[in-house]
Amino acid sequence: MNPDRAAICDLLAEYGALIDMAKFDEWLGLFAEECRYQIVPRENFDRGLPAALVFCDSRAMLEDRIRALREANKYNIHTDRHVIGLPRISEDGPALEAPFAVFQTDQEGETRLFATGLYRDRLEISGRDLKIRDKLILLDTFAVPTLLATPL
Amino acid sequence: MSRHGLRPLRVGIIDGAVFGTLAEDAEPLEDYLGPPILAQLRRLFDRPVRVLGYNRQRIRGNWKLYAENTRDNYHASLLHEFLVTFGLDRSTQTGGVKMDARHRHNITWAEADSDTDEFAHQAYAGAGVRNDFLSLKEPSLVTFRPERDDKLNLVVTSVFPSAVFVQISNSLAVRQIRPRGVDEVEVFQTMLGYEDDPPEMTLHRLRQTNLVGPAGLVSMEDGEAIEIAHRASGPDPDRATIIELGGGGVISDRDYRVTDVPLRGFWSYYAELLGIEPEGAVR
Repeated sequence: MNPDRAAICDLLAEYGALIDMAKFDEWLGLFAEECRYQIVPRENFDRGLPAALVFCDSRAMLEDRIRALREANKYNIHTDRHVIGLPRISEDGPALEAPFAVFQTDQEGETRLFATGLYRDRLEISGRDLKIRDKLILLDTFAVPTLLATPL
Repeated sequence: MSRHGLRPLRVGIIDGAVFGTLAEDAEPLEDYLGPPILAQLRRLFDRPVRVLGYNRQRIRGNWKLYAENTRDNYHASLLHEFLVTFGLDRSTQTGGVKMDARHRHNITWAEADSDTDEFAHQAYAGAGVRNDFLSLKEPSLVTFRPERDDKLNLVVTSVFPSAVFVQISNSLAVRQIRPRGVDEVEVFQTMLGYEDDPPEMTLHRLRQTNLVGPAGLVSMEDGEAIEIAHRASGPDPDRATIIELGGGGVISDRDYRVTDVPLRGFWSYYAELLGIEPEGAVR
């Protein structure tokens, strides 16, 4: 059975909201047990080059990323705001493609456009849940402002 | 070319790495680099490389702060807490700094498995620094696979003014420091592997690209640190702050990791080039 459009939109809404609320454990819960997460600069993707900014080809690596973010990495204190556009859905997979923008606001209330690009997700239906099996984030904003710490 | 107003560059090549300069009176490239730097470049480029991709980091700070960053050995295990938290790269390892005769370039180096966990625990506890090293769920992220007869698992070669050649574990890269005015710099990084890497080694390198770049587990902090330093130095252009971490005196190679002496080498040559050397300046 294919998931309906509403369920896929709910998943995307949860995805953005959980990052923006810094609920990273719950965010990890949106991924399948076997999953992949990559942020690839568009200039690499267009040339067929494989290097990513973030390359997690297992759930363990994605969990290490989040642990490092909590325990080790230092970064500018900010609020993320994900604005995720309407997805194009293909029943093969199922898969989706959705544009996104992430705005960052600093402690003085100044907002800048931090990143924009395209999500390409392959999903997995497990029981009543919809999980992300493979998330490819094509980053249009490949000149990364300052640093990229919290997930896109 | 003259009809289009293009300025010719003088170009030199070291095993495939192309250097360019607009200076008409520049010394021959090999003389400019000097033997230690040349040896490191020949080590890195001992086989044909394959470009794995690029990344770019825009930092709202002056480019010289980035040139300082790659020459400063203090900050690595203090600022880049990923290294210490997971006990990976430690000031207690065998390592040091090596410069050219004029001290304008620098090699920061360290050897794998050259200290014990016990020794590091004691040293870090004595210094009041975190020593409850955590472990990763996916250790291959940081596993070093030796590729040569040496044990070097960290080599950061800074070439004055704007090039950096980097080996961190098995991730290999060339960084170009591109000033975008006084207040902004782009760090443009080319990620490398070798043409004869088997697919499994390419995958290993792609995993280790997680360590470097604007989202690098080891390197991301540099962007924020440079912006803070740049902001702090802006308001009082006529005043100065000096922190002599490594003290003054002679600029020379060190066989220990806790030093920032190459940074003084950078500024000494910069001051010479700009004709702003103070009296009694150390070269």
